[in-house]
Amino acid sequence: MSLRRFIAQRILVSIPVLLGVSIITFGLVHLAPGDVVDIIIGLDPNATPADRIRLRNELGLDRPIYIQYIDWLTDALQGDFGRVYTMGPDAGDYIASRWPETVLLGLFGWTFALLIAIPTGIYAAVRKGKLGDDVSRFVALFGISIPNFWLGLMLLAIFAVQLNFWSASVPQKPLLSREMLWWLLLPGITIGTAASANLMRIMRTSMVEEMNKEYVTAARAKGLSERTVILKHVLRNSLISVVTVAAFLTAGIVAGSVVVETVFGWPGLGKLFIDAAVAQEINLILAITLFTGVAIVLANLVADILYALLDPRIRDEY
Amino acid sequence: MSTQRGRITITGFDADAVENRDELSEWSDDKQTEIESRWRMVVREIIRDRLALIGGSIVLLMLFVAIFSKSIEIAGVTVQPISITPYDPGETLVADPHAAPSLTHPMGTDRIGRDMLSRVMVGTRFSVTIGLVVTTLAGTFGVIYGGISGYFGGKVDALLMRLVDMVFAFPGLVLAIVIVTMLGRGYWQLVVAFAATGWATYARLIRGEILKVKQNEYVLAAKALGGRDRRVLFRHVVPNAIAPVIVQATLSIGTVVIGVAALGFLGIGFTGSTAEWGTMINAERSTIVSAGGTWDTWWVTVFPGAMLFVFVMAMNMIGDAVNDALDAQGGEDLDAAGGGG
Amino acid sequence: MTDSTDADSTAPNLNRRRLLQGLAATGIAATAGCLGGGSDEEGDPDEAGERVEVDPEDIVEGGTFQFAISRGSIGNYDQAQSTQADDSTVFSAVYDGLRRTNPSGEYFNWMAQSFEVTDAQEVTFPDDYTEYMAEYEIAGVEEGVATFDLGENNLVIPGGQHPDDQAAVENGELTAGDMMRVLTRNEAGAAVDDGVYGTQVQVTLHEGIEFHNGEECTAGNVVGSYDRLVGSNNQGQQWESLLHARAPNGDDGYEIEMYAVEPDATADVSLQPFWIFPSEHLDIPPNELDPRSGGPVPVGTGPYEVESYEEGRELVLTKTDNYWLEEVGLENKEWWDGPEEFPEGPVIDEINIRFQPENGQRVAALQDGSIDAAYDLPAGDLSTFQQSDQYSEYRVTAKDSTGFLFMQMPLQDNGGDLHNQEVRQAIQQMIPRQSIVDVVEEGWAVPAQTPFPRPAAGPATTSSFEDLQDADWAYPVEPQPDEAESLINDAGVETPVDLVLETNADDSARQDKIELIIGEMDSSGLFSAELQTPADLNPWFLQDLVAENSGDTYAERNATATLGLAAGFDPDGYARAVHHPTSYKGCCNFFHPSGTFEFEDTIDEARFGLEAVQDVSNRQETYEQLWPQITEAVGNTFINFSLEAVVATPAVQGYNAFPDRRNFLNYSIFAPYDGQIAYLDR
Repeated sequence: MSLRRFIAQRILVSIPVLLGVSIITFGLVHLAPGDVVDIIIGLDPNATPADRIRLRNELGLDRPIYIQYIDWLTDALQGDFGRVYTMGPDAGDYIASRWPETVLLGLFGWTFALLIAIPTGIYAAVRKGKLGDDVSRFVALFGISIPNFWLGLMLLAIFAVQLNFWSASVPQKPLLSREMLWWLLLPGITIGTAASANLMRIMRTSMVEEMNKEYVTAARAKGLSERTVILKHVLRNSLISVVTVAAFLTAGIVAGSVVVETVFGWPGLGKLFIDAAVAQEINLILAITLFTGVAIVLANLVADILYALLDPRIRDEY
Repeated sequence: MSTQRGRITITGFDADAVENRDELSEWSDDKQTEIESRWRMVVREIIRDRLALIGGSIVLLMLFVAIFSKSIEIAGVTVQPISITPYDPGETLVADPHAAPSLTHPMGTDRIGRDMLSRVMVGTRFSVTIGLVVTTLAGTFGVIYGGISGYFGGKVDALLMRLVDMVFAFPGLVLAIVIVTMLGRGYWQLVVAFAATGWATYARLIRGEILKVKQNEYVLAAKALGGRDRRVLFRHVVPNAIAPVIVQATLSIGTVVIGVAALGFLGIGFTGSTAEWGTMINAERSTIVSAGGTWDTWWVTVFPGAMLFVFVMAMNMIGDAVNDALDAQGGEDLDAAGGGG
Repeated sequence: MTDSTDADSTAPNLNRRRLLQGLAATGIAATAGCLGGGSDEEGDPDEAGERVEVDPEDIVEGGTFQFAISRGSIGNYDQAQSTQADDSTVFSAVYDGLRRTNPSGEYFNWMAQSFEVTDAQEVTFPDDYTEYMAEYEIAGVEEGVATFDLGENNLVIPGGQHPDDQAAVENGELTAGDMMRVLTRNEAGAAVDDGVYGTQVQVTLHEGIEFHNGEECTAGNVVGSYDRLVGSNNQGQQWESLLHARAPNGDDGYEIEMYAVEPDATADVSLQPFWIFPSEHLDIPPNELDPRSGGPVPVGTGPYEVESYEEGRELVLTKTDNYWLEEVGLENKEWWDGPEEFPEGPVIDEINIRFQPENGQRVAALQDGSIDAAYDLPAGDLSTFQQSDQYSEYRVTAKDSTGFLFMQMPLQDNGGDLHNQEVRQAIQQMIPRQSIVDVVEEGWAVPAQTPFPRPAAGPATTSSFEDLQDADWAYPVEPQPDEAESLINDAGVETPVDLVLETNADDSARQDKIELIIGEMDSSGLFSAELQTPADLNPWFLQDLVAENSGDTYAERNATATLGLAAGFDPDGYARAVHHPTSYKGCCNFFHPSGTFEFEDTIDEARFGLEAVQDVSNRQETYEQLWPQITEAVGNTFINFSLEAVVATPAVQGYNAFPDRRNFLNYSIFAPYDGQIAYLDR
């Protein structure tokens, strides 16, 4: 089928997925024992039962849960993600003001993951079975076995505190300024290292597979240098699967950014999410979860499209 | 031709005639040496891998410590009486707070004078067991779920996979965090949280494998030679499909352990005084970037952090070796889908 | 983090309490050095408590003060709605109030030219107000409370239900749709007109006070500012005692009268509006005064105005050029007797609020000088900044604060041992208060010897806070196992007594303290204690502690509950919050229904008695009778009090801390009545 139809179909399929994500989150958050009203004023020594009732009516919490969900959904579709009870701005305002930071950090993480994974994977595949393979495997394993919060803390302690190369706190400069981008290297490396693990393994496996194929033997027989064989043919073909898995990285990067933003104090959505979860701020939790859900779905969509573009066989299956 | 969708069917053969004739060879469904020896080869490959051996011994050692570090009581009955920790992990002020490592306290003491070595040893209980428990639960559920989906195919498959897609749309830790903050703190709450996010990977994995294997040549061959559906499924499909699941399982144990530690680090895992490695790091976090210098009381964060790293590394070495060994048997295309934090 | 704090900082409400979710952030850790263990020395809060005085000749004007707050962003720019203490820290530089206070608890007229409690009468609320009540239609009834659909800015004065009607509501005789007599803001004025009120406060504003937008602040602004709190998160606190406020000379005049429902010794502090808004903001509903969601930028009469902001990243305040005190002049303040050169407003040009939610970042930023001052630092870092040679130019300034850790015990006789007073007293004797302060807080706290902290000591005793530490009814700082043993023997209870010490799951410092208590108790052989953490603070509080029969269930399990609280600058808060029936099933009296203690009326007398209102020495004498009763009954025992500490880099001169962090940009920057002024000298 045509590419356009393919894309349209994938988008259509994504919508129920996103809806499902919102329903699951909404349900989970409402599962929590206790009461939103209590959370807002429960610990206030001067709050009276009348205050509670007033607040409950105001927030519409006395209605059945599916009605609350539908209300939320209709508002959300119009861009209103609801109030954040313990803080001033609406959930939507928070997302709007913080998403650039999160996306920027994510891009850094993504870049580093690729930078680390692809060369290492190639090296390991080429040296398979020899010492180089073992060493690179070890290095890769090392990278993914370090808890990312631990790595972040260590980097911070060494580079920022001990050596003073980095400032320990976020520079007060515009987001795309040189200082800021330099500063983001540390958190970026932290996220990238953890996320690169799977990618490296895929790279290696996929290259090994390719190298076992007949055309490689044929190319070698033809007299092409090993280098040409690897870089021109094998790499290109194995990049196909790598590219698609790279898009799947998004989930890992988002998860990583939640922790890394906390360690480095980066004012993105990850840190906000933790605060929201602890405070049981339903609207904010929903808004951020949806945001990340959209990001992941988008990334998967891009991956599928790329895969289809690069490998017409797949497209034809649909 | 059978109209049952998703079932394994062969067309163009007069099956009855084939089934009822004399044996062409000695081969029968009972002689499964072929598959067993394959597994034996796999195990041998793994054992030969140096890294896996190291990893395996580390894990066994930690398991040993986990069991024997402190006595275990179930419903008041002492099931395991031995305690090899030098001090009670909960006893405060056994020495000065933040005492440096010494002969009596090889890992020093923490901020209220508890022996770090004892706490680190008891910490194995949380990390080692939770990885295994979560992976077993998630794996079992995921395999059954994905198996059903792949086996029946069609609409059932499409519906079930939608739910899997939804779980995948959550970044690994996010769903776990939401569940934990809703359910509260505790071991089983964390198990539920991570199992709920982890099963989807296995489901998708096994379903993919089943779909692939359904069209594989040797299945067709087995059917052509007279094997029945269910036998084919269990003797040929499942053993081959299970391989990537095992790989995924060994690799994801490490992920789960890190995830639990990360939640402990964020302060939403176990209670603050629990001797879980991530929680211990969180409780002493302010010593890392502190005015007195990072390495002033390094032992309170380095030891728990190192243990985490060593355990996860060991599991990953094993997993890598398993991966390689199963790989070498025929270039399985492993689906390393991105979920799971 | 839901800190249900009050908003006002310029005149701290004495009875505003806030439940603490752990002081000094997550995990108080040490640099090696407590009890002689390592390289650095222990902190010295006494040294940190000493003031640094400034010679006006040395003052350098100008500069930008980089001040770090320990949150990632402002919670709510709208102070009518905000419940975060750190928000108040920032906005107390933007809004000025009628009076100001100093660390010793003395009050000074500020925007008020005169401020006096002019009358107190013996009235009872609501009984003496019934003839002024009006009938309103009940909109709904929940948990024995009737609610109404009142007009804008109107509310039922808390407690102002007609006693008969209220009984009828509780019986179910009156429900939605029926009429009920209540006293709302609309009727309160009539009562006051007839001379029915408990306390009267009369205030005169200075003329010529301007808001940042140029509008003159008059009586109308003061009286109208209450409106913004109707329907806000802080409504309950504003109307704790308030009956009515009016401007006898009209909104354009400068006279204001405020009235309390009953005679109230804390009226002078609790009645005034928390924040004074300009006229153009008075109609804005609570929560809407936040520029991040499209509202206007906050405007007040304080020395600094909001210059620029960016959510989560930046907030800059600049010194306003029409600061009212500079217009009115210090010589017109009756308390002023300082040198002529003393500035009439802050000299720092700009305050740059830096958001540093992580401890480590605050510390690192102080080290490299990218911020000038920060609070909420771990104890170990405080010690290092104070003692280490590397930081000899840095200043650590600290003040005894109003937060405290307490353990509440049930008195119900329900199968356990805690109903024996001797057992509770024995527990009280075994708590290692000094060790807790030394180990967990590394010296940066105060072991509790009295059931109230230093900042509240003024009305609490005729002698001094120091003298009381040695009283025979005071709590011991070191555990007293012999005393405890004889008490246990007197009770005739079998040892070891099994105890469950509960606290919330999300505070590891608190758990550490309990672990130390357990260590001490177990080693004495008298007790066998165990720590339990049922849930995080919120769910624990709401589901376990305030549950209906919590006293019985806790008594049965021999369980106690340990929490933190901050109760303000008046001793009433400390006695009332944890003992009095009005706090029952709220914060923070979980186990003691009315009638548990003999001294419940004494608590009321010390604040609401007519004699107490008329002369503070009456209050002091009443409290002196109260404290020994409290420490003997052991319905609660106090463990330690907190400190508020600020670390400032060498660039900052003259900065002194305040017992409440909400005044760190207010008192600590400029308080002429104490000769307090901070400046930057780079």
